[in-house]
Amino acid sequence: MKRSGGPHASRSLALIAMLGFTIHAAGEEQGQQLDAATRAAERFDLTDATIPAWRDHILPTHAERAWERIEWLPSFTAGLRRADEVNRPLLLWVMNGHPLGCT
Amino acid sequence: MGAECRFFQALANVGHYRDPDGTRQGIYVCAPSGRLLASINSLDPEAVCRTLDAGLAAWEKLPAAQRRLPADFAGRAETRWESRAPRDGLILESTNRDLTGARLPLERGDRWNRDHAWFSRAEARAWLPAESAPGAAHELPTELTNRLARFHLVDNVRGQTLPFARADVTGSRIVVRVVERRPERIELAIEGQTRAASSAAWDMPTGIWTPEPRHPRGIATRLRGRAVYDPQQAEFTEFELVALGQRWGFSDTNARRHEPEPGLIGFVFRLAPPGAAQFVTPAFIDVYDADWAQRP
Repeated sequence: MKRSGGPHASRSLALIAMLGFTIHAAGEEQGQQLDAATRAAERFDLTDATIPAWRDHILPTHAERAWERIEWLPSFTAGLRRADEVNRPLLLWVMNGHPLGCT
Repeated sequence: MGAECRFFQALANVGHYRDPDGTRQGIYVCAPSGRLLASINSLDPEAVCRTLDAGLAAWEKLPAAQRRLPADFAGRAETRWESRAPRDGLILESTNRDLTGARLPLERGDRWNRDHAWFSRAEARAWLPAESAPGAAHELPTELTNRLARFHLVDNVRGQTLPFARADVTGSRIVVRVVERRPERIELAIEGQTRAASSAAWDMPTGIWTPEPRHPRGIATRLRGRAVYDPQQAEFTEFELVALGQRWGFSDTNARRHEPEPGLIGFVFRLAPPGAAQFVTPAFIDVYDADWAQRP
């Protein structure tokens, strides 16, 4: 049976206290970052008049969307069936994770 | 595992990555029969082109008898997340991009990314104020604001990232106001802000995205946009929402590890174009806070 108290208990309490302080400090720093980010967001020139320009700036250009001109099929099975119908090889593009949020 | 998966596994086992426990990502050229013709995983476009040429050459040499899809090919049988797409709801396409300043014109960064945000029919209707007279306004239900803040206003410009836990989102609010009302259209103005900062309060233990290890990260945005709802068809016919803000920190795979300092970021949400692509699921659909988003 473990004894309560003693030097081990003191060390554990000290570690817990340190951990608590570290988490508190990290939380405080995160709060400061969040407030700074909020102020930065408020500085954007975002009005009804500027929405179209921001939209056009953020959306992909025609060149950036070149890959969309390929008639991609949504599944491997659909690709195999189409390739078989037209007697052509199949190009399969495989990514880990989410296909729209890939690395 | 479905027949489609086994079919892919068989060809990947003879491709460029053969570790059964490792990644299989890359580009494959194969015959409908399942025979692998060429494969590669490379960021070098010339190397990819050479692989495609090699695949085509191998196809030309392949006897006709070895080209065809097996007659007993069962294909896909298992239900996937795509089946949960709210076809009668609201499907938004989101695009995000790094920004170099807070005022246009700006030099355009070359990194951008996409996702989809899904809302059920009832959730789509919840964007509208109960009163539809011009000037009527309401606050978007918290769960919908939080869906945007936790799962969509995230920094995945350079690579996949993590969602935010419920407790990470504070002080977020989106207000929707009726601008104009006609029998066939209700025009809405949308304004708001979101704030999210990662903490130790991770609350998605069953999600496929688990932070290991955790890194401080966060984002604050300001949103503004407009939408048009057709009450007769019970659907949005226009939707455009811009969110601009600042993010900081990094997650395991979002490629900010060496640049965790604060940076500006922009998002556009708009109606997803028609076609199969809109049914590509939201990246964090498995942890969506919605009853209808049940794992298939």
